[in-house]
Amino acid sequence: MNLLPKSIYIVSLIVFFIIVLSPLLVMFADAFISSDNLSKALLLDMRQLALLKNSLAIGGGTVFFSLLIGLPLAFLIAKTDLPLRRFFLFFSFLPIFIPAYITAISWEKLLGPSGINFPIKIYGLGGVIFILGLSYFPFVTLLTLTGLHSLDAKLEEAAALAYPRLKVLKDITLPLIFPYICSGVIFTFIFSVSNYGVPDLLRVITYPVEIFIQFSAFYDFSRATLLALPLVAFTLLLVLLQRHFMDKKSYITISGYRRFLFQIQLGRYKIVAVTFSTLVLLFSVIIPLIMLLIGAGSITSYTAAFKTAHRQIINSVVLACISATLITILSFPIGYLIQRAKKMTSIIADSISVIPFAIPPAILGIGLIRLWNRPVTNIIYKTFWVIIFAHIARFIAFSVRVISSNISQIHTNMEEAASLVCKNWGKRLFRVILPLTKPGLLYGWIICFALSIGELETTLLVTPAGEATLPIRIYTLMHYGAHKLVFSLCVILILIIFLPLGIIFFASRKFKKQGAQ
Amino acid sequence: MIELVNICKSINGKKILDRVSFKVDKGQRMVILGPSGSGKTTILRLIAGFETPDKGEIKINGECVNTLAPYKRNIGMVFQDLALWPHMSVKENIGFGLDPKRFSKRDREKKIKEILDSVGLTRHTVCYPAQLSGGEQQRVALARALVLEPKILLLDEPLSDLDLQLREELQKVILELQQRLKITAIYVTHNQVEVGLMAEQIVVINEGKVEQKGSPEELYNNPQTEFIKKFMRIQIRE
Repeated sequence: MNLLPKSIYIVSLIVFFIIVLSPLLVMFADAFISSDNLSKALLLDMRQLALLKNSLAIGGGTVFFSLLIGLPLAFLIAKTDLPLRRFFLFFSFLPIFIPAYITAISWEKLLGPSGINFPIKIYGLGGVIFILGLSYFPFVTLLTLTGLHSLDAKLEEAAALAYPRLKVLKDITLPLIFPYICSGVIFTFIFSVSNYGVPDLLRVITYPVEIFIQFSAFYDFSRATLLALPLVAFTLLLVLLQRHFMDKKSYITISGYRRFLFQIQLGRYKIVAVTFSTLVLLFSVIIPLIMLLIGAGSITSYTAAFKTAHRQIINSVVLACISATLITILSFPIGYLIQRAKKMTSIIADSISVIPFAIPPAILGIGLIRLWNRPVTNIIYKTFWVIIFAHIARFIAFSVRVISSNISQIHTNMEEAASLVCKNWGKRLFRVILPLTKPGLLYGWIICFALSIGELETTLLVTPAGEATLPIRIYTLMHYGAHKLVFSLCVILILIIFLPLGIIFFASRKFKKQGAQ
Repeated sequence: MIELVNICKSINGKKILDRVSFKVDKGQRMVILGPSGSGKTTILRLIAGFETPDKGEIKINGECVNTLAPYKRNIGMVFQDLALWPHMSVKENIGFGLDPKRFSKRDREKKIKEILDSVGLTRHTVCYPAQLSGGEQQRVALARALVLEPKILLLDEPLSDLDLQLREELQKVILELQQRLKITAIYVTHNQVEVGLMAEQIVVINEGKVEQKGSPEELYNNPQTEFIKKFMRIQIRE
């Protein structure tokens, strides 16, 4: 706790409060002042009930679908002799970085009116659940894998002396990694009920879509905000429940996944396991990418796309770089507080750091407008800063989790040894702690870069004139029906996202080697 | 009773065991001694069936068990860090292996009580592992390993974290139970102090190879390599 001067922690928390929490507080304060609207919003009329039903169906359906594919995939990768495990491990994370609306665009090309003649239509609740399940199942896979990784294999081996491996998995492994699975389920639920792009594309009215309509069509701030109340209350409850489940457990394994012990030999079921894993990969990554490439057509489409949207491409890359850097800088002291501060401070820092997970992006956008759309703060509201603030507020929770997990793996002895020989906190920070947290900082940066560059929902509301990003350009062009251009820009966006993910892949191997040494 | 024949094992491309062979007779106590990282634990994991050898044979009662599932080998094991299941009480930890299909509820209760009496732990049966002291956790781990009346007991440095007094006390408990139940025991340690009481036979392992095997007296009186001399702390004046 004595690593940084107290002032740095205080400044970080103040900045976190201003950028992340104050938009929400201002927005809710505004909305509650109008008590007439409040009573209307809280009254569950037929329309509200339909929204609630749709959102819960999407959340529940996506969770079910994600468990159906994400859980077996994690177990196959971690607990069996599945061939090409490292390959499947890497590809099972990719869908989370492909913006869900892009997956929807590509599947719409295949199963929509201009696609193949398929009896099941992509439009409607089923389609939304299908797309969101394919996009968010990695939450379940990633967290289950982290749970399995953190599990001491001896706990399973002790049981294996008495029972077959399947019973051991059921009675020992599953109960022990239950908090991780719950956490994956909660993430999937929150992200699916908060998603705006996919239900909007596939013509299903959900809370986020309705909020957007209330805001953009009627410019009714307080109604839009109050509409979101049941959703925000529910997601906040889930996020706090998840914090309770996970306590200080790591959400991610920084050092790369070591050789998992206690493996099941698949034997003659190997072919079934490989087919299942390949199908998941095919549906979530390969088919969407192929459809985008087919949709884009020849190379001339890409040239045209560059010509039309080069400004938005550059804007997106620069903004995502700045956002990811600022998020990483701000996350370090907060992550450090979570791991090293006294119990109460740690719990408070941990609890406030997870709040951004619970806030639907559309609500965040409205909050940012309410807070910064004032003459004195135009320097933020009318410039690119408002987009950066949106990125920070949306994605800082990811970075804090990753960095905090990394710090938890560094033994306090190392800091104590440094403090015995060096009084200068800067030297201790830069020579001892930051080099040790390098993997967490790098992963945190890349994850936030990839998420920021694909962000649509919040930026759609707050982007000032002349500062449009690539996702906004894609979204606008799509509504004009410029399909070739849309697909080409989607491919370009995916390439920009995948580039740093490739770095993660190779960096994880490097860190693993360093760890082994 | 247990025989390892030319066992080779590599993990992640690194050779851990190289042509390891030795034999433990029925009811005998064998200590595997060697420095950290020498491959001792891997030998236990191979015998238990958690790993399969790349080459060679593991025989139990003359039968090759290389591919036999661990639960079919009738082996009990005490792990170095005990591996008590944190979500189960003492009673549940011990009773987990007693299959309800084979044991009635009454039999299970009886067996749990008997084994807890044997290891000297009659209280705390409803406690969770985190609520027990180090010595009590050790007793639970031992009870769990023995409750199924295994023919073989594997002990992977089970007492390394305990103070001297507690260690001697538990060694006596292990010894008494091993002799009473006539179990073949393999005890892994890197600590020569633990050898005296536990060993009838010793195998010294270094860098994955057997340096020497024999009775404690043979090893102390007639060390065959420089490593054994140093490791057994025998100062021989030339």
